[in-house]
Amino acid sequence: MKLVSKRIILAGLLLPIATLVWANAPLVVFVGSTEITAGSGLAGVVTPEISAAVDLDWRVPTGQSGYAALWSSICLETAPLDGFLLTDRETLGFEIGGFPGGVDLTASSSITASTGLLDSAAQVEPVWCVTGLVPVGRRSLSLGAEYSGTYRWRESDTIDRVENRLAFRTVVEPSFTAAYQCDLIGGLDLFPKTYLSDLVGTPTTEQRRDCVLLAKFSMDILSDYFTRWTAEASSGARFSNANRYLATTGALETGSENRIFGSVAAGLSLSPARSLGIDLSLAADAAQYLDRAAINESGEPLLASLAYLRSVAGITVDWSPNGRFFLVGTISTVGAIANDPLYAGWSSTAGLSAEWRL
Amino acid sequence: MARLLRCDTLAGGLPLRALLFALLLLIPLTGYSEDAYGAVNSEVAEVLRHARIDSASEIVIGKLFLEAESVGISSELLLPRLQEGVSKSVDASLVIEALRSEITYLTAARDIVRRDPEGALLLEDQSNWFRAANFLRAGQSEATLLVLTRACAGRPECFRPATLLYLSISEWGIEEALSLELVRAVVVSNLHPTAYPEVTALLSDVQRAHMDLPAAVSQIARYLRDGRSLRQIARILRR
Repeated sequence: MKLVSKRIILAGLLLPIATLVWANAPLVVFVGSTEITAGSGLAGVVTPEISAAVDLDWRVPTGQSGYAALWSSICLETAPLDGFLLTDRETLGFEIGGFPGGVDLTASSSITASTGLLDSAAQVEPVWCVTGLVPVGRRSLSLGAEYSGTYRWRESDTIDRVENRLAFRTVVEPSFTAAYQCDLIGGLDLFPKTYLSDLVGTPTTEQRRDCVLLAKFSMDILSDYFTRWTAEASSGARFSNANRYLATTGALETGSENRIFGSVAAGLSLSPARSLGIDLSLAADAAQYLDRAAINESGEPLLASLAYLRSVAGITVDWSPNGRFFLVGTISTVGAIANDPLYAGWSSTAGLSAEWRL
Repeated sequence: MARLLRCDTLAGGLPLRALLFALLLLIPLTGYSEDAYGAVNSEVAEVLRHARIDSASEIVIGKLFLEAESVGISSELLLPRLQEGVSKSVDASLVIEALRSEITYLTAARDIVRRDPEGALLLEDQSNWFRAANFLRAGQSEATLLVLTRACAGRPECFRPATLLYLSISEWGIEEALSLELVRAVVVSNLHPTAYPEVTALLSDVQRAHMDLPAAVSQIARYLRDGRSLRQIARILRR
């Protein structure tokens, strides 16, 4: 009798879950992709990569205006020219959100990791984000804030980083087909494994800390039923206590990460037919370091501070013959000019991915 | 006197006055008379007056406009087609053919829309009538037009955007039944007609996420009927 009761209880628990899953079937996509990169400097050699992945995404409505989402991914990558070394990457994430009283609230978190069981070192990168957006007056204006953060931990090196960002957001939607967003962002970056150097280049116990201030403007325009334009511009500054010991001159450079920077980007997404999606993107970013000397090819510091300008162009074509099998081709090129050869160069990447939805 | 008589007659002996009279009689055949211009809409007359169309074709076109008026099709509905032909300097026979075709589609569209009890209200806005005719011209079936008419009953302001949305998504590649299901849900929801392109943007995003598009279309329709906003639906469907 007790066994029967347990079974009934178990069935009672499983039935709603099964119904929920059945009504909102998760998206499962198998991905096989290959990528080849060529360029100047380190990328001068052609570096092909092959990867295989399984993505799962499950999203359900909750309550009157809410939703919940869960996603995960497992990916294996290898580079044939590096002796087919295998690396793994796993992702698990969730998001909950809703519009109680018209307020747009979301909270999400995900964790991306590499186990270190294969040929790569272990690494973990959790990400978290909470956003609130309150409509002010009519629908056209919303004010809000977003807190986001990430922690990049790597087993093998010292570039661990904790990032925290607080953004104050203004969204203006003068029509249903246009949205403009302005973010004023402040951030604090901690580097738990990065220590400042003393006058002779010996690491001290003081950790690196950065402060980031940033203003970002973006727009999203639907110019046609299946054509979307996006544009983004940002500008900001990074202030850091980081320093750099230059072994060639025996000098300690303070404020080596202080810089001002800016970026612009534009994108066009169009889908002339259900079977075809095309994305074009152009972007450029530049930085002017305030106290970091550019270093010439012979390793000697110049009088000028480091500055670079980088631009990226890319195109992605997404084609499907039947809505279940997809071919995604990507070509992108990045080029940079700088007064320090380490930051200058170019590289181009071409990728082809075959995806099959279960 | 004899000289005067010679001036008053031509070589063949035809009296000059008789010739002038004959010329006056011929004027209606060489172009639209003032009376005829007055009978058709003044805008039509203005277009015809400046068109490079031969007089015989002008008469035919004028008659077409008058015939259309007699069956309740106002000149305003035909005028764009005439203006298009004139501005493109196409052959008059093509203009006449286009106008005849327009009258046929307008008549058919009116008959179909009136099958719905609230169709007459929808037709009060001539742009809706024009839209319905264009919908048929685009190769869409009577049944589809009737379904959309019924969907927009009581909301005539939604008719034009709804038919445009239907054409957009069906031409994009959504099956007819699903397209109709989605458009009906969009109209039933309180979504503002100018927001309809957001629906197509959402479909495009769904496709790029490599989701099951037919299933997603049904989901969108269901959520719209449940009263969810497009923004909410977008969050449910995609990351």
